[in-house]
Amino acid sequence: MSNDIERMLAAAADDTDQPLHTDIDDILTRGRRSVRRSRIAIASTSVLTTLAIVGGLTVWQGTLQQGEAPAKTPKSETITVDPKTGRITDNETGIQATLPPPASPLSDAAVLKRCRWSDSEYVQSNKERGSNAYDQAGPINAEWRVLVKSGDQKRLEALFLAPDRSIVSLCSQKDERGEGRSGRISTSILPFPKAMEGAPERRPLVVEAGLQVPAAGVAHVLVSLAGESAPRQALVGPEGYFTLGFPEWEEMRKIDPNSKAWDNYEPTVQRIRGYDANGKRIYDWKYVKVEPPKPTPIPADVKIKTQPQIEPKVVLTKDPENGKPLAVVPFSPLSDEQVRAECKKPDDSFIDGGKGAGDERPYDAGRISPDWQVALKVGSDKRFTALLVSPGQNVLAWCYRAEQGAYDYTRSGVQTDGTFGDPAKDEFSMWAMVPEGVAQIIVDLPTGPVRAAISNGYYLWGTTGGSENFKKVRVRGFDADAKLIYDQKISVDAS
Amino acid sequence: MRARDDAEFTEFAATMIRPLRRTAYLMCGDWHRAEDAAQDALVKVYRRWNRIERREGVKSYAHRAVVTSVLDQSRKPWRRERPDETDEAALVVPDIGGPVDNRLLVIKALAQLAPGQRACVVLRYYNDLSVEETAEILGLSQGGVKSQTSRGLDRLRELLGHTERSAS
Repeated sequence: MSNDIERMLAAAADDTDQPLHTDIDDILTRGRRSVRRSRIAIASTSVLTTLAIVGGLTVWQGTLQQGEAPAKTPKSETITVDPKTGRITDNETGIQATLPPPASPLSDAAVLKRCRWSDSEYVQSNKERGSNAYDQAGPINAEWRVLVKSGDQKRLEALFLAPDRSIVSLCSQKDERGEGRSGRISTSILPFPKAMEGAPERRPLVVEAGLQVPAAGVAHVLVSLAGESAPRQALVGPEGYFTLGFPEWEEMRKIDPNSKAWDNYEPTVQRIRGYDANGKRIYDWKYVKVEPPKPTPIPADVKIKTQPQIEPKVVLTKDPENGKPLAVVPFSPLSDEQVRAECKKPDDSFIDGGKGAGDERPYDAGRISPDWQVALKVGSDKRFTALLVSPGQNVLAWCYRAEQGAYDYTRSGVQTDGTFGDPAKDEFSMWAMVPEGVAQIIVDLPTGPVRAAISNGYYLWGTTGGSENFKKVRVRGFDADAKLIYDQKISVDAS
Repeated sequence: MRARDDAEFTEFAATMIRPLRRTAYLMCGDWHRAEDAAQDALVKVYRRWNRIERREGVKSYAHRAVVTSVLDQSRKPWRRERPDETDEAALVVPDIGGPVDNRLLVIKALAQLAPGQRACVVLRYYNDLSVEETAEILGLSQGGVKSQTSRGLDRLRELLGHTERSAS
């Protein structure tokens, strides 16, 4: 009977007459957007990370002293609230703030119901990743306090406070389907192991994330967004928690819309101010970009020093240690010209992506041209990996092409010693330079020992650097007489 | 993710979209919803691509995600499960005759199982997953999977026997 069930299920699920409407690229786009949102908006340290990436650091100008004599407060540090409309005028500029987002018409129970799923998924994700171990508050439930809620019947932006007050859960949904973001942020953990240069004040993560003004008695909050002349009035809840509603903006924005430079970004939220019930400013935070220190450049005339090719007297076909047959990494049948033509596609994207802040040599080497040497190429005509060396002999490009035509690509500038570092010490290796005196190399992959492909002083153990299933591999090098002269474990790119 | 991860994910997604859609269809009886669920599942896989153990792990996670997506869809108020309704698109597929009737009978019968029983039967007897794998995907104990599968099979036999007789 079970076989019958299996057959019936298989027949019922037959989809040969059901065209597929899905475009995998759309899934990629959704996935990327989802990752971007969660990375930027959710993870407790993500805001900080993002800021670090763009080279900026936030500087908190400090909570002003409580109890200052009101009469001494300059007018520019106050706001005027229209008693009839509730609208706020920023007395620093004389500009009227935009209205706060609407309070959500949903009950706390309805808000909880909508947010429960995404929150529990976030908790589960953290659990699986073993991250945010400080978050022990468990998924949101009826014991969590709804701090602030904004939106309409569709959109929702809400903050929940854990019963033990350790965690704030953020729930932001575009519609009832739950698309949006969620996240959980500590109310007490401070970012960075210690105060970083340019960041005089370490603020709890929930403050860094722009969810709370950490000053007692906050009644009004104004948020200034880049590109907007008028500040936005936030919807303020208890204890200084606030929201601008479902965000219609990206957390990071391009400073120059035409630039592709890696550091051409700044946070959209540029300034957050808190005021007490009398309209006196009691908190003022501004984003201030801090330029990162520039690394010492490696001179462009340092050239790659590869080891000369050594022909083995006897080609190893079995592992000398255990007699296991050696798998062979095939050389790609593509011509050098074809490899260069294929790798030019990701190379153009690499160059067009603009220079990073670090080593400029990989960019200064220019685009792939017929002058680039194809030092090593393995794989088939459809799926291959190639190493290309710049005409200046100081930059190496690693180029991988999948069967579907997708690419992975990176360039590296040679170090001052003429090598690309010790693969035994590097975190990720996708290729390596042949050690001195080595004629043949065996790499112990989980699938068995492999004789690496060697050419022009480089070796590869497969078309990709590694696999999710292993992070370190043993590499043995043999001289021309098949004597073991190199034995190291190297960390492969396992991402 | 980096370009290479994207390439690998694309390969995985292209391979898995149809199997996931088929699994989802058995769970919900609606090809459109099934495709939505498969898409949602793959987006979830993408989000955790670097954190999932590949090979067996990623497929297992994808199955879990698609089952969860279907169950989650059914929890949403505008997509309540309607066991007595079948996929309208499937009903109007022309010129296939008998096999379509049988297929729809199976889908109708599956729809009348409790969601947990349905998931167990589908994962065990369509996806050919072990008790252990099914337990992990559904977050159940192995004993729970066995009992739900057993009850689901009994009920399915009962329904199919009944519907087959009715149809004849």
